[in-house]
Amino acid sequence: MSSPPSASASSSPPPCPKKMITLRSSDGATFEIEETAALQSKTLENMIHENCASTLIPVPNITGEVLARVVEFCSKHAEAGVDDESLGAWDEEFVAVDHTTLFDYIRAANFLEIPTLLDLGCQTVADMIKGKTPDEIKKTFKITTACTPEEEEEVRGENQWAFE
Amino acid sequence: MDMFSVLTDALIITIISFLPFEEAARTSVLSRRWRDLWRSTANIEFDERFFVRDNVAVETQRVQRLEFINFIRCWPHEDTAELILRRFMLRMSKPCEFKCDVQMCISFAISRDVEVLELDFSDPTWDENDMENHEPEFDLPMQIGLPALESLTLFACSFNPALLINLRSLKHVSFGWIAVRMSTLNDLLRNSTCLESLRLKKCWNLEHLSIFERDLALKTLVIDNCNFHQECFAVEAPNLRSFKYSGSVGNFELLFTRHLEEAELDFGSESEFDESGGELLQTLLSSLDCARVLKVCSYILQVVPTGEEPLRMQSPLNVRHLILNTALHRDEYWGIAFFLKSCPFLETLTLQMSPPRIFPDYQPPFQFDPSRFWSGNIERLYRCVLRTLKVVEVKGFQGTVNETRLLRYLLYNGRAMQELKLYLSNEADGHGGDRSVYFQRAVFVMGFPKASPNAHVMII
Repeated sequence: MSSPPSASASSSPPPCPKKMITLRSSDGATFEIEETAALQSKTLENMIHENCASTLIPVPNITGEVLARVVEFCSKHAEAGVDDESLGAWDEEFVAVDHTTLFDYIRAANFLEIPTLLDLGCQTVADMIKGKTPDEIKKTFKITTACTPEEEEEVRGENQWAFE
Repeated sequence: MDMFSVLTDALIITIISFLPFEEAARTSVLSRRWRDLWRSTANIEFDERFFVRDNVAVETQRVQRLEFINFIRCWPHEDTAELILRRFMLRMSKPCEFKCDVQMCISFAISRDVEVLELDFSDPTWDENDMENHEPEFDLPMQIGLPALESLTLFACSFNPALLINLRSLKHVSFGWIAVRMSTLNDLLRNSTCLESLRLKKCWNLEHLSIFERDLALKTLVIDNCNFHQECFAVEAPNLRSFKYSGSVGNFELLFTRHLEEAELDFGSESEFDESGGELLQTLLSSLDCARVLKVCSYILQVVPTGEEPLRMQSPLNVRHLILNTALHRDEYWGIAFFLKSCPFLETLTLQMSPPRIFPDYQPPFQFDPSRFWSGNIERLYRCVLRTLKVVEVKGFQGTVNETRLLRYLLYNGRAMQELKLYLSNEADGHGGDRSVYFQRAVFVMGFPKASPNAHVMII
């Protein structure tokens, strides 16, 4: 690849064209992502350094639908010159999805080791738990309790201070 | 199907770590799987006040305190050595009674490389409003080897200033109820170049406040009822977003920039009317003129019109949201008018109703009739009221004569008004008034004539 000639008069090196990485999801869909954005993921970072020649990375655990959104997230967070407030607003919209999708993001962020996305997803779920009674939480997340009433009594007794 | 079944235990623990400690503990009853997961939370709060209630007998409190100590002692720490601990908070009064346990807690937090460390040994019986300086309850004996520490809170806990030298990643520092010297603060600001917020609460032994570090990254500065030898506050902070001060009036030399977003001033501890204090207050306010949110106290409302210009600031303030801590007493009227006139872009006005702190020797700048002050004569037609004021909130509404007079004036003249929110007070007013009475009065306010067809009154 040839680099375009530098336009500035200073002695800085000519700008390099952005290196693109291609990711392939579990269901065979491919997505392009800039290398700088891919480095948000520790897993991808390691893979890039191991396979210096190849630019196609299989991501077996994540479907195309979720991977597309993850690529969007990483690209947005790798963008220069975005102020904290607008990035925060963008993040808020990003996680305004149904529970299933949200959990998919968390699992993808965990597998790809993207700390910003993992924290964002987990914080969002925590915010859904905050302020709710145990019954409300069980209902929201369809947790079918495997506790007998006696077991529940016992646990409440153990942590009585938290229930007063 | 249980949605959490697709997540590993480690991921659930990460989620739990974003919950406050008490709520994290309550997740123990969600299901068998959740029973003990919360004990691996990365956010630990050992707070005596979870166990010790303040409305019980002293003997019972002693028993509750022992339950708290027992809880700490039983906390798993060997088998969780690989788990991340991000935040450790310990709040306990009279720590000298359980010195070993406190030391073990601190060592535990250090061994796990916490990012946020909070130690609060203050006593809930201490009065925030008195000027007493309490001796520290605990002394941090060791150097804290936590180069990655981002946030440090020490209340009633003395420390060796040299400890701060190695904490270069510090972003947030909060000191309370301890003696601090200006030299310690200067060292802190010089060494921790990432410092974003500094809070000082009930500190003493400060000679004055003098902050002039170059390229200071500081965004938040809070001075809360501290005891200074000399009330001189000279601060140059080009990145400051938020400035909050409560205490005595002093000599302020503040060099902030247009980054300043909010400022709060509370001189509630002043006990005398200063008839020449207006000049100083106006100078102080002009150094805060970029702030979009400004909160002022009753003292300011009474004293600010005593400057050379009693009716308004020489240059207008940028304020969009003005919060007044007020009783809407007639001695505050000139001050309220002063601010309305000085804030031509005001969009939101919040009246936080509080008990009057009125000075017996108050002198108004001009003779006036309180009952006709807000009658909308030409002097009271302020640009913000006519053009920009959209929202008015009254927190602790009781519907007193003074409240209704001002609200009638605002509704009658507020052509841009959209909302008037009346948050009813929950307290009895000592004349037989209670929430139902306040509600009736609020309904009465709803019927006042309105200049703005969009204005709508909400009773909350």
